[in-house]
Amino acid sequence: MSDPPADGELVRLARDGDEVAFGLLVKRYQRPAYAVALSVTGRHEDAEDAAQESFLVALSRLEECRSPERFGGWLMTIVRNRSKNLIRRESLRETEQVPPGARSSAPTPDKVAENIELRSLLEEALARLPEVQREIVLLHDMEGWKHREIAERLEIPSGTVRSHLHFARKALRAALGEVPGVPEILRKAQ
Amino acid sequence: MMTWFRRGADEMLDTGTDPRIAEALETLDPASRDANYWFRFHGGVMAGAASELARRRMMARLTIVDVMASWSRTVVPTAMLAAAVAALILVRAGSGALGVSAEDVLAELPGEPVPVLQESNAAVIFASFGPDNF
Repeated sequence: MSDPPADGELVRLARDGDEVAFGLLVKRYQRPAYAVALSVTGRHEDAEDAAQESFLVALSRLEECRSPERFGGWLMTIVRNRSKNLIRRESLRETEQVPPGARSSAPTPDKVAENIELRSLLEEALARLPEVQREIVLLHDMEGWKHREIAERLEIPSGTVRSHLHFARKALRAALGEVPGVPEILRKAQ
Repeated sequence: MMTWFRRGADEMLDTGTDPRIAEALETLDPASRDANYWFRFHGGVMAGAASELARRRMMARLTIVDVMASWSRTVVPTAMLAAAVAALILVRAGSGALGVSAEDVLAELPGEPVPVLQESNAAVIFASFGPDNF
């Protein structure tokens, strides 16, 4: 069985409009792109929009990807920037149009389910982390990326990734642990 | 020494797998609510990318001959039009306004000496030095 095609090869094919090659790139990076977008926006809908837009932007700018072998890192930079632009636009729109307090964080009826409650708690806990820690903990613990992969794609030293991961987890555990009922929810979720 | 140090640092930093946190973070995966989520996400991106991929395929099929042909389709008629306009201007200029004909312009001016490029005995002079050249 042959190895999966490398990013560099797929990028070169996608530059010539190869649908299968671009499709493989999307499949390979859709989850990490979503995780990075979620780490910046903190909301599912925004993360989805930003991640999808980022793939289209990346396709239209494929010639600017100078090292096709490092497509992943280049794409994550686009995702991060698109996500930041999106929340900037949204915050501007909210300031202009939506009265304060309209976007309430009060629990809605569908949030009574335990996994939804846990998700909401996690989102709050993640929101308190620095952006880089959110990104690393989501890529490592949600997407299963290795330290080395994260370091390469985020272009930071591997030791820094380990350190950020450690502090992110510590903060998450503390945040989830101090909320009454969370240990029980976690236990049930497992 | 370095291995020991690295292993110690990893243990201190707690960077292995944490099933409890991984399990909790799974609830943030949209697929935990909708099993077809990533399939639909992929489809959405591919639908959005269709026109750009088609444009790229078309560009990749273009050869240098195609590019030259498309270029010449624009340039040749433009050049022909420019030549026709230039000819019209020349014909008009020749027929009147300045009153200068081609013969006038090309005629020799009286009294100007005709330049002599080579005198009749130049070859003889050169030939006379021939034997002295090594």
